[in-house]
Amino acid sequence: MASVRLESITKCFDDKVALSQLDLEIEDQEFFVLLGHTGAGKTTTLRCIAGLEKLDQGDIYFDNQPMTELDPASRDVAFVFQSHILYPHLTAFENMAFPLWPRKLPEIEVKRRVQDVAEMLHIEHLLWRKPAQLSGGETQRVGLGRAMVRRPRVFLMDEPISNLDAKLRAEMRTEIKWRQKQLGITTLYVTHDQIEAMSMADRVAILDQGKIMQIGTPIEVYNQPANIFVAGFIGNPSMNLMTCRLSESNGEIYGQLIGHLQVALPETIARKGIAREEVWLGIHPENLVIHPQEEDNTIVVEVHNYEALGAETIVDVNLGLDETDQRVTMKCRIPPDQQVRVGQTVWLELQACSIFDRDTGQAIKSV
Amino acid sequence: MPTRRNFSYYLSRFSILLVVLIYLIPIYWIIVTSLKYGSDISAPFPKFFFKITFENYQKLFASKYFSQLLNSIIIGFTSTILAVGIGTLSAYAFSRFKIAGEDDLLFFILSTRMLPPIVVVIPIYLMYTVLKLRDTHFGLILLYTTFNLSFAVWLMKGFIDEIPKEYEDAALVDGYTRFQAFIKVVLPQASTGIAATAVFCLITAWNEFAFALVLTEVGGKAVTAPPSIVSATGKTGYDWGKVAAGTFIFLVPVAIFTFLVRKHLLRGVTFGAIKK
Amino acid sequence: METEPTEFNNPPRVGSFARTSTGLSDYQVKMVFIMPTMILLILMNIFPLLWSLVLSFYKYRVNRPDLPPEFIGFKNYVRLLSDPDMWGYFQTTAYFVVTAVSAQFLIGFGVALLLNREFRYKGLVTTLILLPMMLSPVIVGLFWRFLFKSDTSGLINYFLLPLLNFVQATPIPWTTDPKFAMVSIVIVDTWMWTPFMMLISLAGLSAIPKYLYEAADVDRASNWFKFRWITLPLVSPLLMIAILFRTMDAFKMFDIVYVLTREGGPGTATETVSMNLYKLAFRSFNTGKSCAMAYILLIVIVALSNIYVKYLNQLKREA
Repeated sequence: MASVRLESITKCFDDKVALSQLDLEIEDQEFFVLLGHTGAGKTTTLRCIAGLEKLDQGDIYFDNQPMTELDPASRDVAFVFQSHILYPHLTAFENMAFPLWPRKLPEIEVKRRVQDVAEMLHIEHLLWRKPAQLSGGETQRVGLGRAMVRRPRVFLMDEPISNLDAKLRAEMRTEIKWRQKQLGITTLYVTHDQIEAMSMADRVAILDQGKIMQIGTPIEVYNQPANIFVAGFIGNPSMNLMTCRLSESNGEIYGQLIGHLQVALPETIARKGIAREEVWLGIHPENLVIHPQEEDNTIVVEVHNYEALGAETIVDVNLGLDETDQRVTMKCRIPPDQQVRVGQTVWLELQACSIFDRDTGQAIKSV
Repeated sequence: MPTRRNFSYYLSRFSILLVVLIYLIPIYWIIVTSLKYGSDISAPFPKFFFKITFENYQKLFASKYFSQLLNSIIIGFTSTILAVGIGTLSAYAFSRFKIAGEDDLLFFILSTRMLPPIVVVIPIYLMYTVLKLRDTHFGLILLYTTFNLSFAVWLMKGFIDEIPKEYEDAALVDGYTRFQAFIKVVLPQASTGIAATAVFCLITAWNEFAFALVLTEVGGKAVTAPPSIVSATGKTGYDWGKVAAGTFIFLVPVAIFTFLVRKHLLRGVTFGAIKK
Repeated sequence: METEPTEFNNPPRVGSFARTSTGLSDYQVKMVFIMPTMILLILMNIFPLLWSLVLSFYKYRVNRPDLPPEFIGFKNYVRLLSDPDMWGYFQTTAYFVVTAVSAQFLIGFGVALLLNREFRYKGLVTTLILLPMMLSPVIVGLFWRFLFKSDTSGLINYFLLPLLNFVQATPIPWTTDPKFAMVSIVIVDTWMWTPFMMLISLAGLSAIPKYLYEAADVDRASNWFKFRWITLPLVSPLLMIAILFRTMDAFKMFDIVYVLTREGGPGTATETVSMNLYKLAFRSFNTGKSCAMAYILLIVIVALSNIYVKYLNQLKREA
């Protein structure tokens, strides 16, 4: 129960920069997710906050108290690791009591607290088992209980559920989010799985190569990606990204995709980029509508492939070849009842888009 | 399971049997010889059927052999405890912390073990002569501890490397000091490794001959079993019955311990270089 | 700013204690943990070795405290290196190392191929075969001396009797004849250390994935082809380790020679470098000269083991 502030923290391993000048502010009781690919610096950030890694530069504060020089034991955080969560030589009960032992609580108090948390997580019947006798989900629950039993100032979770199978993961997502809200403990949660990030986070920070790409609510990062990295990372399938030349005629702004293929762009968004010759165009698959006949403001394309996923269908459409003779395709998300065939000629309508600077890749916010 | 038992099947079974016999016969012969009368042992042809006697073991009881066996036990166990204790600490440091010149240090530690015992023992002999440590329990314990230490560091480093760092990190975050984390988390998980390493050190100390030969006096107070068995020559050469009896008693614990660490043998004999 | 959830019955916050120092720092732990090893190694290895280095430049006898050490510079080294006998001892050692290690390698690998299949009592058989290498070399040597007795009361000669009668030969004086003494040492060392080669070979063999052989079977590969192109390349790194280990070990072999051929006899037929050094130091008590010789040996070994550790590290990195 503390706010966490990172002030331009930098961490290098040997000569490799893991985190560079990272700033982050996490509010009290917030569920904050760090999202990024493997090696983006998410886990390093978490380990720095816990004090398991010494910073090369920068400072860490909990509630404005400087933490940078404190050792892990004095920071009062709880860390849930991805694997090796429980000590194999201790029972579930002992594992949960383990963080309480160095605090010299009376035996009865330790017992009561473990019992309370165990009841909360419905694991009372598992307390006397050794980790080897627990299933994956049970292990994860006990691990969570181990973190909860101490009521730390901050929870740090490093991909705690990525080793579980899909169904259990979905269950644990709900469980963790619910417990966090119930306890009101500030939580930093690291994951590479955007579904986890989107479904659990109050706010999410997207990391790449030790730098923060964007911070915002899940909806913000989805709808208004700050740059082409975020645009290409968030969403499944992610935004269609391609460079495009902008031109204006009759008060409408057109984007020239490849060759002579032109598409009318939403005025308010495209207007900001009109001063630039070329921009990155980002389009969410659901913002592309497929029509079987020609309509206003559509372009003609060919169905290259499609995946009927049940609740939706993802269609790859072929726009043609670019200057370097590479095939240019886009992914569209269409309702499952709409029929398409491979090779079929269809008309594509663009309903919304984002634009990014051609060179910096940053979202263009104003003219 | 093979369903067709052809020539090569029988050939392989026969070869395996032959190898086992080659390895068992000498050991069998030790046991058998220890149970024979002297006259049967020195018969012009080996006797496979004979009258069993415990005369050789009785002769051993009458000699100083058991006090020398006790020396082996005292020196073996003490040096093992010291070597494994000190070695585990170092192995932990080498496994978990950045140490300047780590590879060179580890090589130096290993190289002390690579030297021929005679090369090592000459300077030790000179030092012990001055310090009056020759033919003392303390002297041999000190030497065996040092000798086994390099082995213990290397083997234990392998075992500790296999314990995930996350376990200690979790303990550190939970409010334990590094030292407490080592005691409460690392040691319990390294217990199998510690036991295996201890057994190897014990066997090495138990079997050691060259150091013991040079640093003790014949019939001295700190003589261990191996030099005592070897030096037990009578006027007409070895009393083989007595030698066999002493050997048998000496080998039994090694056999038991070998059986206990059979899963770690590969690691033990290769300084942890090869893990199963 | 706490909001207490109802389930917790408002427990006191125990985590908020502000300790700034919790026991030893990592640096202190590191130092405390490494120190005992270093101190012991310095006291018991470095210091005595330096001492003996100094003595190697002196004429000195440890059993004659009345004669003060006399500085003679490099004379000990010069004498040793120009002594033809010395090269003889090195040759004897090399002969032993090469024959014993090759025999152990060939037999050990063969036995491993034999055992690398499923059969009843496999675990027991393997453990039984492995036992000899855990035994004390000097005790093994002593007992083989009994088995090698030069008349027909020795078990080995007894077993060879039909053969000996056939070629009309007398029982072999294994350990007492210069022709056979080295052979008997090689036999004992091979008996003792073949299991080591076998153990490592077996580990290498059992690590080869089965599907490689299955794929070769599908391609109708011959057994020789499978051995040459699958088995050998995949086990050879481990075999190299095994050979290096054994070479290092055989080089310093002392115990078996000491007891089996009575300190390198008959004559100097089996006098290895280690054995000669022992005699120099503790029979003739030529302490200064023995220190010099120990240093010559030490340089050889350090050079060898350096190559060896480099190879090991490289292998570990690849694994």
